Amino acid sequence: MNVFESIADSLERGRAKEVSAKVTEALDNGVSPEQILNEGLVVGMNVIGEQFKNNEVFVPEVLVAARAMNAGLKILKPYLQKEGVEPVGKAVICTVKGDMHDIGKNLVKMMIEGQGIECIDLGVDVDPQRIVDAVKESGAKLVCLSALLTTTMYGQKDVIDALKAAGIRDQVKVMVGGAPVTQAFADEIGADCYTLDAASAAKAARAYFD
Amino acid sequence: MNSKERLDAFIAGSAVDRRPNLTIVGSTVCRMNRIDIPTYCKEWRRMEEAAELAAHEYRLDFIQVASDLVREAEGYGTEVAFPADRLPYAAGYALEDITDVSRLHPLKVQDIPRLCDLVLAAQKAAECADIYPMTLAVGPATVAGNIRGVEDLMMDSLDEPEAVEELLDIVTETSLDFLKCLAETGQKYFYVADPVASLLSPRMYLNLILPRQKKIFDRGRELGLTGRLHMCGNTTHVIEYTSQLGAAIVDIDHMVDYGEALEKAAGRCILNGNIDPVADVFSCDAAHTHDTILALGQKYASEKAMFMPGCELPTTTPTENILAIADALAEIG
Repeated sequence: MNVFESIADSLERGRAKEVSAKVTEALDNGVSPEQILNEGLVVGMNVIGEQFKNNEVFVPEVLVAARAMNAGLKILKPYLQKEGVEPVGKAVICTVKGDMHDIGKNLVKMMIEGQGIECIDLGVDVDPQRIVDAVKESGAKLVCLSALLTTTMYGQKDVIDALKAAGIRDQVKVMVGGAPVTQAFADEIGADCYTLDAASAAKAARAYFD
Repeated sequence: MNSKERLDAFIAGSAVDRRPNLTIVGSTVCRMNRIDIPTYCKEWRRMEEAAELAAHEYRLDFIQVASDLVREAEGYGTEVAFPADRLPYAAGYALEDITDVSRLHPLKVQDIPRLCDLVLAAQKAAECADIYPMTLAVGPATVAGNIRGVEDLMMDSLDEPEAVEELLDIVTETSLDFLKCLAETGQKYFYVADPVASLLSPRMYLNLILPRQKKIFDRGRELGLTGRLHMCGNTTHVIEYTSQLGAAIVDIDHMVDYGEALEKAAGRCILNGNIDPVADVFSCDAAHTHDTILALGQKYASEKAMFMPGCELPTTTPTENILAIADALAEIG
């Protein structure tokens, strides 16, 4: 097992301390931070994403893998910045107004970050205007909206309306998801993308920036 | 047949005029006596009145004695917010660290004011002549999730499984006491809602949750109560096990393939579901709801199966769509 496979393996098993140690060791040995990111952490997260999609792992396993990914990223970040490695893109992500659920949003965020995309996480119960402001300030080209409740899913439409009203709807792609959300609903409210699960969301997000 | 006769007969495997309608209508009942959601959750008399009116209006075969999923957790110290326009939620969790679980001890119903309210509502609903109340006991995974935070509980279940088991045992004790209170007030039916349980792998479900859920259904049976399990989400991977818990009825959500679920359940319980509460009831017309239920019912008419939306209906679901469910069930027979 080479260093990248070893990092990916630890990540897939959710071993945050192991990932930190292996990333540190790799850096000490002069391995490129970008390679560690793309061939170790991202590869491991992609494996977890696929397994999650195929019901081979479940929410707890994804969460601990993402925690391990973040542990590795924390160490890598200063090195990546030093080398001028930029994120492939920026996304604003949140759970919409009136909805306090964050697991789905967090899963998508972790998977998207695993694709090398910087996420501006606005949290839960977010007012549409805050999202508009965040897009303007950050220059994000992707807005990811989560809603778990049938009572709050129309909050996704409110965000799209707010982006239109602010004159920036055509500057961003809007991705929607959450348990009650369907492709038909996404079409109805004028979203650009709907995916069934977090791994597919991450792939679709990456596709926007490639 | 009245609702009581219909439900008893169907569960016993006897002939019925139509399949029982056990649609979880949620806070749509607030429109019955024009109460707001916080009142529905906090004032048991108004809640019971609304639920009983709704059972008759919607032609349900149970009185839904339930409002929200945070009553038990509130008792354990979770801070609960009651927004004006939606159901209450955990705004601050009782356990910041799972290893602090040892400071919790099992609470009795009498220690939790809103759980006492639910027993009082069930008692009042039991006075109804023609429809049984079915009262909600929130399942162990969901109560624990509302005490610790679902995301943290998920990670704890891998990091600190013993502490999670301790927490689950504590909250299960409260559920057992709750069933005792229900039995003392002359109840015949109860249901366990445990949506958080469906997030776990089959192995973790088997190790952590199933033993506690089984304990609850076993106690129910000892007390003469018939149980129903509601685990929304995609439960395909655990139906083989949930069907063996001792619940007479197991609900399945719309993500589950009904045919596959029937195979996995192998006749050990009655399955109940599973049209999409949003696409097929909330955001469509009544004809669509009717036709969807009818098609599902006709497909599985010979099975131990009941038909309804797979999960709770949104608050503003049109009344005519809810009535379309009853209409379709009458046609299925």
